[in-house]
Amino acid sequence: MNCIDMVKIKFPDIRICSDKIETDYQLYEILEYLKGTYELSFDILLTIIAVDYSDYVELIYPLLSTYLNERINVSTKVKDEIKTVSSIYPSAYFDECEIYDLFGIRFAGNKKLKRLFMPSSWIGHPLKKNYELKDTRLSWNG
Amino acid sequence: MDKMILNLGPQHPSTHGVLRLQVVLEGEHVVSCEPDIGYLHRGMEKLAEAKSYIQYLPMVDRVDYLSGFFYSYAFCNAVECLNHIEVPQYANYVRVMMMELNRIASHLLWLGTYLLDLGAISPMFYTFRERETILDYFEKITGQRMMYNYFVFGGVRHNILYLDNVIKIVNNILFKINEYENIITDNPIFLSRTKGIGIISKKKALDWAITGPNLRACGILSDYRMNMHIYDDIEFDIVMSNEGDCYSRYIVRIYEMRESAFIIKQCVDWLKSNKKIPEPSQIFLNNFQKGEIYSYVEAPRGLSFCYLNSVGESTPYRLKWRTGSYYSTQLLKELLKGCSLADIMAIYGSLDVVLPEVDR
Amino acid sequence: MNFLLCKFLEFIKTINFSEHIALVLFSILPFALILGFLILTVIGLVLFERKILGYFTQRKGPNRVGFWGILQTTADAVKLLCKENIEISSGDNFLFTLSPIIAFAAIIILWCIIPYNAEFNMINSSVGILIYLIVSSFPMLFHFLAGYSSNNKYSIIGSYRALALTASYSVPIIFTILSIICITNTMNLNNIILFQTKKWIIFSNILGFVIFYISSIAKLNRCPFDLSEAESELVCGYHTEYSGMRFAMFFLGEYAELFVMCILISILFLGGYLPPFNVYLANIFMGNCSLCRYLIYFEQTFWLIFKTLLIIFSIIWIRATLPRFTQKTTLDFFWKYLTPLTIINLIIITFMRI
Repeated sequence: MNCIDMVKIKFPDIRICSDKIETDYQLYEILEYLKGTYELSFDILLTIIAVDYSDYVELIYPLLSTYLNERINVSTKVKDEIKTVSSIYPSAYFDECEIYDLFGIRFAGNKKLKRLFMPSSWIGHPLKKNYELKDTRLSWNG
Repeated sequence: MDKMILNLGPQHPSTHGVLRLQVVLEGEHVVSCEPDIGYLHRGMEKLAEAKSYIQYLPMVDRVDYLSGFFYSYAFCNAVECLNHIEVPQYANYVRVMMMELNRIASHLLWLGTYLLDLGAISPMFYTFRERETILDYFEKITGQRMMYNYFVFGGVRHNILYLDNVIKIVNNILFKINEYENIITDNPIFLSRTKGIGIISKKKALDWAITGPNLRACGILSDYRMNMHIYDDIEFDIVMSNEGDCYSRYIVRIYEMRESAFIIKQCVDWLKSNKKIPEPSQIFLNNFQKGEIYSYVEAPRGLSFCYLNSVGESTPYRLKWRTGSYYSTQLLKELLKGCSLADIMAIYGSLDVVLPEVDR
Repeated sequence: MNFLLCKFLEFIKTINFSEHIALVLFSILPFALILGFLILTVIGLVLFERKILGYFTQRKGPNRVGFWGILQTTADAVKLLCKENIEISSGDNFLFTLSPIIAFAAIIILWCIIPYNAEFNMINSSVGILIYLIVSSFPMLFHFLAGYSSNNKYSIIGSYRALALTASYSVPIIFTILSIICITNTMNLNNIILFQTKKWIIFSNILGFVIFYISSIAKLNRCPFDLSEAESELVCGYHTEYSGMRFAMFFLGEYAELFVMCILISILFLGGYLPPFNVYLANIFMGNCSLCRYLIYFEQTFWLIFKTLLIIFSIIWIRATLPRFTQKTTLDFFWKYLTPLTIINLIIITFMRI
């Protein structure tokens, strides 16, 4: 049975869009299920991708299973705050910091959220679509 | 004993770039370590949104200057998949050959600098001598030694030439790898510096998203080349080791070089026997498709991918790089806890972190 | 030195010069000679090492300044002398300046103890080897003070590494020297050499030679025991903050110490200035003429330096081959293996004497 079908049976609320699972509020549970179930064991969270669609930000969680040698993408929409997944996948810490830095999304439960690439005094979040590209030097007070 | 906070980097001889490690020391003993990155952040992802596909192409090599072909491939493959561009089989073989040559060059550089970190000076010159032969070949074909800009949408920029040279280079390197092994592998000081040092358990490796040779050194079979369509007709073994310490990471990379040489020979055989050579032609994109593409590639430093999101404009809507070193750097925090000061360099070096790849 | 003094006085008389001034000159001249010889040797030695390392690693080494790169280190030295002296803003500036001077001065004293041939030996003391041991511990102490006064974390780590290392290599060195004193019944370096006329000590004390060789590599702070200035970990160890002339003092001192230590090895084990099989080339080619007596002195110095260069070459070879030990493995190696081995060696030698 296909991995995506297994998730669909467990979580009927999700939408499936080609190779991506879209969920509105069950992200944490789905990731927990994908990692914890022995037949799936999606044990590596490759990264977290954030895409800014102006009125919301889409977060995509590509997972890799070394056991099945398969990949699956879980995505969710977020306004400005979402629960952290670093308790399931510790590797998410840097990714969440990066997204906080570049998109301004806060991750509830991630205690040491910091600016990863930009100086800590930087104003604004560069990868947002409404970020002004001009006068970037002026906004850096470091 | 009092604790000492030591800032290793961003300017330090063996951080290979601009990584800052904030280390808390108790004598020689490392209590905790906090990696701080971002000193080389060039905004590759933001730049992609401002440039058209063809303008962005030369910049892709700069994601990781030691293995430019892999990132070039990931980006080209993403654009090709998105716009349904057919790549001739010939170009695929050329790409595989160049990528594997690049993998050898990258591993050779790692080997030299790693031994330099451990205090041996000569291996660096030996590995650079062999790496030079590969770079010379790259220069002949692409005109560049580092930022190749050779893969284009729909194939490669020039046809491949001097195939006999490749065989010569590869045979020479296979011979020299034995020489390196003679001087390094059984050296008791090298063994005392690497065996049992910096052990990554299987669970830790998976939790912290380690990929590539570092993951295979932990005894987990994971090589994305198995799934890549351009490797379909090519035979190769996946090198694995079980201990997960610095020594097994060294062994995995040494054997991976031999495996790459084996792949290159197959590619050369195919290219030589292939009589139908297509004209190299770059495809200029006119109408852009909408969609999302994940283009994976097994780079020397781990599984990398290019996420490309297009809304039909001439520039990508969003482009994201996933790189292996980024996660290796993150792991340092866990890995360096409890080791000694001298082991920091042994462990950090064995992970093969390249900073441009971390900061992008 | 008496023979040289007589000849010198005779020479002075022939040119009608005051005898008092001549005596003063005679006490200064050897110092000047040794200092000049030291600077020249160090400059040559740096070039020697760079050339050899170059050929080991398939390069040519320095080859631009002067013929075959021969003036490269001279140019480097001049550059270092001309550089600005950077004072440290925090830390002990007095100690910071004093340390390289004393460390270098101590090494010059070491050079004065050495018998370069049967005649030229400035300090011909009956306890020469003890003086050597005492004075040679000075540089390490001042390396420590240099690191301490720099107020730099890398320097301090390098300093305490150096101290820990000093404690571990000193025991094997002293015990091996004891075994040699046991064999020769003398502490005078000249007599130790003359004892080896028939048979070099290396043949009766081969284990001692190996132990002494390894310990002196550690004492010289060279690969694979260069923990205190491990450049991949500690940037430069105790002299991270140093620049210009003060750095040059450390640098020159390091190579001067390397040379004098290797001279000591060849004196203690390889018969010092004695030629192999005790046959002088001058005697073979020229018979027993009066000129021969002078030529033999030169030949003795030649053999001493030849043996020394062989040992230096082997040390450079080791540097080109081996990675660095860690602090823990070094201390383990010295305390757990080398020190017991030295004691066993000493016991064996003592019993053989009885």
